[in-house]
Amino acid sequence: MSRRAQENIVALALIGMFIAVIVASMDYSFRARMVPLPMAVLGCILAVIQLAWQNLRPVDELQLDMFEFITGRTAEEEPAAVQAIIEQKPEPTPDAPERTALREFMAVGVVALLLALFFLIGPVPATFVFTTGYLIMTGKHGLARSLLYSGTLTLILAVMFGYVLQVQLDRSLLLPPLAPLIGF
Amino acid sequence: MLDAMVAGLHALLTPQSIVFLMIGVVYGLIIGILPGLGGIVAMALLLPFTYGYEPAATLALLLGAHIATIWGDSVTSILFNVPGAAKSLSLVFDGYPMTQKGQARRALGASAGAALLGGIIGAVFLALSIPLVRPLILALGPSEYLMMALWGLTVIATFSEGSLLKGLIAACAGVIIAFIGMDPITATPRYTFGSIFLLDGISFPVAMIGLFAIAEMMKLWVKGDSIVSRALQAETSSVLDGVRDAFRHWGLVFRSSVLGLWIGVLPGVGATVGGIAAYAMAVNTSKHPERFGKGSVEGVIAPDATLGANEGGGLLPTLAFGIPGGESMAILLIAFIGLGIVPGPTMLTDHLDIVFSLVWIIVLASIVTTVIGIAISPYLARMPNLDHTIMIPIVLTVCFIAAYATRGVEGDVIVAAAFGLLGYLMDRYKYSRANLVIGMVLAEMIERSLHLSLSLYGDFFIFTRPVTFAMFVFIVLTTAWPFVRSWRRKRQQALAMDGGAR
Repeated sequence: MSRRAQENIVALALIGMFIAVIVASMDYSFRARMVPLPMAVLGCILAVIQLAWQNLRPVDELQLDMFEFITGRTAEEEPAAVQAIIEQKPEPTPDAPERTALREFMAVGVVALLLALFFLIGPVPATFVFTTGYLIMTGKHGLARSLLYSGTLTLILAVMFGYVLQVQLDRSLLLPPLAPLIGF
Repeated sequence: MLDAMVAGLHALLTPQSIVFLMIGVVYGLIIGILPGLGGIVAMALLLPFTYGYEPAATLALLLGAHIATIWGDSVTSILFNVPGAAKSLSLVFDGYPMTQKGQARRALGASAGAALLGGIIGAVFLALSIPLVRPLILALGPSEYLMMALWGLTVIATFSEGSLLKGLIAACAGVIIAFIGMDPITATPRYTFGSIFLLDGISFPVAMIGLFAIAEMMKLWVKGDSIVSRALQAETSSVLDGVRDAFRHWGLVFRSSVLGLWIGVLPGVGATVGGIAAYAMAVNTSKHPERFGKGSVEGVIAPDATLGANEGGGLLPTLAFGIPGGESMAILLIAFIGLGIVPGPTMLTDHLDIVFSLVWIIVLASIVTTVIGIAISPYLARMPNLDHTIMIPIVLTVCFIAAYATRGVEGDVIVAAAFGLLGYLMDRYKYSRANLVIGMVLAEMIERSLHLSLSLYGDFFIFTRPVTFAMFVFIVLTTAWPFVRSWRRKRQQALAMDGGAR
């Protein structure tokens, strides 16, 4: 999917969100919707303009050249050393994988996995299991080192949050039903 | 005023405050040295730890961590040619060549020295400007504060990365997100869709953790950079050489610091372009411009002084008007609210001692960061590689537990994950996360000011109050002016080209 198509989908999603807020606001009293409703209307109008602009006009027309704003000079008027730094982009390391939609979905999957573990087995076990598994899967750390790092991290977090901040960390969906089976 | 200065320093000299400052600085240095994480992530992760402590200690922890990340970000730029954060990009250009020539210690020393001097200049500016700004603050009413909040949103949208439209859209979305929950004025549940969890609204710290920390980890995963390595060079310099360089180029430090102050005061102007502008100024004012790009110490000093002074400048609109200058200031505002302190007039009247505590924190944190930085620089210069892979599981697990710890509610973990996805998408499609956050922070101020203005001054208060009307016109002009200037310049260039072609 092209970048423009993706941007259009995002703009349409925003328009949908603002319209939903406008519809929901109609149920509230005048004072309750005094600020949210105009903001939603303004946001909707801006999103429609953005959708039109990104398909009809160059996007950089609405982008401020901050360097020119601060210095009063354009990049072309600067010495070569400064032009080079303005144009410089951080280079990825040679063995970095290509950025693809699959990697983006995997990133979402990683977060979703940790979220699921958090609810299923609780924060502390999830920390240990997730960190150990992640480090082993990268292939750059052996089992022993992964267990050491994970164990240390889990202990530090348990002490910091459980003992220092007195946070209840013994929450999970699976462990209470399983506790009688494993002798607790 | 003098009493407040002394009281502010006295509040910092307690064992708890000193310990928190040291913890914050060390933590900030570690976070800063890890590429991809910056001051905003450091502060977002610290928020759950700030409840229940003295205000001075809490602020020492947060601001100390933020200031330390500034120098920490410089370390990876200088040693590994990898910017620790976007704003330290300009340090790569001369810092890394210095490392390649065996002058890593000198570069780190110059960076630490310049950041210290810039930080102190920023703190002095803040202290001197408070008595000047105070009468102005006390003279403003609710309608003026409403205009100030709207000006903050539009200016930030104008100066943010990405287009003006996207910036304004993000700001509108942020304002609406802040209204989820029970309306305190009319007791109306807004945008809760029957959910009891959403009645309490979206927690700011949880949203920050998701938007910046979780989103950054998702970006790091997608980017997939792993271990960064470098060939170690025989060192021919010392850290003190670099510190002496920073003091020797005091004129450059002062000019760069003033630039950093100005950038900090203007809401939304990023420190990234400030660092580049400082570098450009150093090139244009140097006696040896041909040395830049090949390992000139001036190319390290200028950006670091700018970044150091930026904090003092950024605190002024945050404390005086309650308008955060950027994401990190937004987090500080959230911390203030959690401590029961409201920025604005009350800050400069009832809590002036806390304001001066912040000034002292900037000074002390800059000194402590420099001392620790100078002490560890020789060891950092011998670091052969930096492992990114270990960061993702550590930061993600800390994020989730921190999100849960904020209110002890499991739903906050889901909110953090959702905001993480939102933050990733916003960054991907160039919708400013800073604008969203600042919209969330300013929403309450906008609603409260509007209600008060309508009650006190009537429906047409914008036109009946001269100062409010002037500020309204100012908002329109400041939003349009940069584009008008850019359009005029392009038109002049086009006319010049047409004239040349003929």
